[in-house]
Amino acid sequence: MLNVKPKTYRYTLETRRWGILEIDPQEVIHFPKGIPGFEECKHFSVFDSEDIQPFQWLICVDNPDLGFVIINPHLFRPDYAPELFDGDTVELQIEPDDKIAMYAIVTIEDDPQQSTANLQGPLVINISKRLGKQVVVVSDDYTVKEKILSEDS
Amino acid sequence: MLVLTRKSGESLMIGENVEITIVSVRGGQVKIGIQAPPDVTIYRKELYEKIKQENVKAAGTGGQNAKIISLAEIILKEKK
Repeated sequence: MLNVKPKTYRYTLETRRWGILEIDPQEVIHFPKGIPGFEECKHFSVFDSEDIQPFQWLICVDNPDLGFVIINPHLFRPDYAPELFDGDTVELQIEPDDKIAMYAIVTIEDDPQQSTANLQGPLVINISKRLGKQVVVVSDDYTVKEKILSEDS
Repeated sequence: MLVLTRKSGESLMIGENVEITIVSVRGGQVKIGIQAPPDVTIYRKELYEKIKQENVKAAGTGGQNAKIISLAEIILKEKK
């Protein structure tokens, strides 16, 4: 029996903001419900850009003019541990061996140092199943506008 | 939108698995009890709206590359 690995056909996407992007279909994440405010966008991909590290881009491959600056929340809030609804775990088909990633969408302010990240609605991605969702965290501990830089910087 | 009138103590069924009970009505406030399976997410609508609003704002502000780069530099410095 032949052991043949399916070839991944990368394709390019022309974008106004990021030039030409190379998309690996196996890296695309399916957001069945889109995200609040952008429900029609069901496919996103995370892109790295050396100049904005540790930030990354989350770009909608269905509409490549749409993209968000994202950050791993643990980089500035090491103790961030939001509780997820069982429903979200079920929707994301999370199983014990799955690899999970969490990101926060960043809002850049006119004064960049006042920029905030949304810790009330983190993006939870089941990397193993290529599924994602922006979940609602019901907690008084987190808001949609959490300052990224500490107060005394 | 389906609109029904209920009195304190009365309930509604949504599907077979979700039950909404009017616990009490006092002044302008209604206390609502919800019984639902653990995989049903329940939260105040304002939370969803807040997240939606912030997403829309974030989508519009992400184009300021210079600002993102300057913020990134500060964070990397802070970590050292």
